[in-house]
Amino acid sequence: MEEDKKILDSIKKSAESLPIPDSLKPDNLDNILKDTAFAEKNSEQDMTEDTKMTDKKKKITSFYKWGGAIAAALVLVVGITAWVQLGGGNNKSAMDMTANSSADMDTTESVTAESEELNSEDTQVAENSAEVSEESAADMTEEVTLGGVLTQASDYQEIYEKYASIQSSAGMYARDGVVEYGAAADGEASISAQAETAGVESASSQDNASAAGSADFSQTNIRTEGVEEGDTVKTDGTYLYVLDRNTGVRIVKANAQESQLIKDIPLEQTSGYAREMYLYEKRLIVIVDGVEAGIEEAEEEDVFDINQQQQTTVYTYNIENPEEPKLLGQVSQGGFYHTSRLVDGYLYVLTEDSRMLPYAKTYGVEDTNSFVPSVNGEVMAADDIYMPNTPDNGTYLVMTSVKITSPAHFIDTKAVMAMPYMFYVSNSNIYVNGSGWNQTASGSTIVRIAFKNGKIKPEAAGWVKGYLNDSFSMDEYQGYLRVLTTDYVQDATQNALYILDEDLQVTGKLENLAEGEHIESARLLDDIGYFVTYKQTDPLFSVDLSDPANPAIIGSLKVNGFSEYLHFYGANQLLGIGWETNPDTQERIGLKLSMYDISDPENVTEIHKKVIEGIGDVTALYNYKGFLINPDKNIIGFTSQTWKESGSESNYMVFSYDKDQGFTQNLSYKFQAEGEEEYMDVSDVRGVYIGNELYITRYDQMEVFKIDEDYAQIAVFDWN
Amino acid sequence: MEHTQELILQARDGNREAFAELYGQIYKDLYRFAYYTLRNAHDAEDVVSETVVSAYKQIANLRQAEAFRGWFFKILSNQCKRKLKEYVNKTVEMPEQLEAEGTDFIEDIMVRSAFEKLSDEERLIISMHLFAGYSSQETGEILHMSANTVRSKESRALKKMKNIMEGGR
Repeated sequence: MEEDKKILDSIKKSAESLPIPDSLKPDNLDNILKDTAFAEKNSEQDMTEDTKMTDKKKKITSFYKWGGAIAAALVLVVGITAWVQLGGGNNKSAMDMTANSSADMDTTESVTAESEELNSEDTQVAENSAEVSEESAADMTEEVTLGGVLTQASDYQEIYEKYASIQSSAGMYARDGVVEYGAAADGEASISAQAETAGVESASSQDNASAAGSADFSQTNIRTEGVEEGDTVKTDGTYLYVLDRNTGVRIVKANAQESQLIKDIPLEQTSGYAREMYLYEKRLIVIVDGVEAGIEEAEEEDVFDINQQQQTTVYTYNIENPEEPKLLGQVSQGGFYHTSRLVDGYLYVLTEDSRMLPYAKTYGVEDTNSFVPSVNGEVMAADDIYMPNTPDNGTYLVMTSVKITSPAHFIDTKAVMAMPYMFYVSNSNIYVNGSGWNQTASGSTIVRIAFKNGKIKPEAAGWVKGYLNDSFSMDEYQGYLRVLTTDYVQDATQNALYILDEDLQVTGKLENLAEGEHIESARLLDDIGYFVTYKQTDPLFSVDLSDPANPAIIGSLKVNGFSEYLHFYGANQLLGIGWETNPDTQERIGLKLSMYDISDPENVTEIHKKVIEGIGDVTALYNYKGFLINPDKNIIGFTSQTWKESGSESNYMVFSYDKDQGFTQNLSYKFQAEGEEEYMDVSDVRGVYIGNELYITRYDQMEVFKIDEDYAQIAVFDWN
Repeated sequence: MEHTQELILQARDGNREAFAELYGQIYKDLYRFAYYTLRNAHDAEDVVSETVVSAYKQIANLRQAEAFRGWFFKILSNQCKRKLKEYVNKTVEMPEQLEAEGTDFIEDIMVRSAFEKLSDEERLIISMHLFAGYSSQETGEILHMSANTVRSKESRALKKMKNIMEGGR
């Protein structure tokens, strides 16, 4: 955080020496405005503003009592990670960790011997009627309390009081003058789906294999087998679906040189921003972020759109005939999109929604929209809301489920009053890592939300010291959650591994690991885990996780540089992608691919490595979906950036690995035209293979390569 | 602050001197925002004058004096976003290295040069923070992401710059 501030200061300082053109100086204003007529107040523009207001009123009545002042003040509500880190807010005593969750949903393999057996009253859970007494506000005894940290609300009054108790002045950032940012944890913990660093468990799963086309095609690089994730490019082996975020979806028939664009599906909302897609059976699902549908964001008129409702909408299309997609249904929920997962035909969507702190206090409990999130335009039920004892800010994590075959309504909706930061999803649980409640020491909260067949239920909440590097720092196995953290204690850092049970209580731990270093990557699988720390020596640690009460470090391999991403690659091999550094100066030399032999976890060796000098960045290291890795096909693909004098060079690189030869670079395709060094954002680029063709797709362009002909380029398409 | 309110009231009534004074309070940051975001002095100049014209036409509709700066920058950032989209479809000449006036101008050029290597989105986020003075929440609303995501992306962009400036490419 300190370093970030230093760089910000240097940017600001560099701007001070930038000479301002004379033409823009205030005394030249008359010249700038010479042809401009002043617009009187009672112009058409005013009328449009009022009309918009009325339209909005129909949906959410009390919203617009507040007027323009909200526009300025609303923006003061921000996340307060930094504030929490300083131990601000209510200094309650250490959390009461008595778990009191009643699990009443079926979970799958994560059930341990002791865990309460779930009854099959699924429908009751969905209605929440069994759990919560909606009748009397006074009767709190039937509330579900999770680890003493989260409580299910029983009525709006309770939520209102909790919400109104949030210290509105604490953690807010000054608008003018110094703007303090709460820093992301130094380990680059990231929030958005795009920023998660994660990897793939398995070889391509064939969940979406289609009848026509090749059955040998690549899939999105996902974290948990059986848990699908959205992405910007999807294929079913016959067609490629490519997302153009501001425009819509392009459907391309993939046929090597004969490929064709057969359909454009425009975004259903004019000011929408498409996030991700899914393909499921004969459905295409598109998730779009945007302001409330029906309100146009006119460029000139958008002075007051700061107080428009942020919505995330899920559109489901029938694509049995890709030339004629049909919109089957849509659902929307409040807030900015975070991530989603598709499991067993149900889509679970997670958004972050900020409510109207501090105005909720002014308008009272009747104005439920000001302190409770909405789905499909309606305020959520009180018993769908889970609250911490002392909330830090007015942000909610909103979770919904949609059955893909009935995409016009939600199956279940829940919200947790918490700032969501990072997610990891196993086959039956969503784990949300967030900023702390109720603590004086710095740390991370984790909430476990069980899901099955569309039902969503927050079941446990816990806390660990330190911060998580990325979503790979969490992994579930046999009901236990293993968590890797880095703790910043004054100038030193310490790392730890915690094993938490279903109630997110610590059952086993290893602390004070690799002092002075921080975790850069991790891959935990069943009984054994591997993680890398940096800097100084960068060991790759092997940890035995077979006994939840006694995790043990069983090996450590010291190498130069460090891996930022780990991926199992065939039997007994672990692929590491990261950076080679100069051991004396720590200066980066270039990208490094490493292959580790993990047949004996106690004695891991680096059997091969390949360093490519000059590469400055690999976007997939921030978003694991950017990796194309399949050990069976023997293909490792991703985009890279190489910094040049005044710009950069962006390449799509493909490697393969052989036990004897090591790594071979098969392709390095440069996106920029010859002689050009224009910076290009390649974070949405995907390499997708279908049979013997590799398609490198951007939102508006595609290049095709023949894999079995030495990656010869056979076509280029421009969809513009 | 009160003086600004007074100026806005006058500007809303068509007083050009008042408008000029308001503009004078922020014009340097406006230009810095545009230059750092677009990486092109000529386009930055164009975009700022277009914004001034646009703002002058709309100022009668500005109801809240406190929101003046943010409102002005909102128009500017929309102009910049539009311009960035145009760049995608054509080759843009690299920004000229302008003569600097300060004493440490070599370091400043280095910083600017590293900044240029950030992505469009990263430059917008940092410009919104430093020159427009937006909170991460405000920036998030303009860029369609949550405040948390804004902070995370900014942090990563700054680390990227640090790497570039340390010669780690």
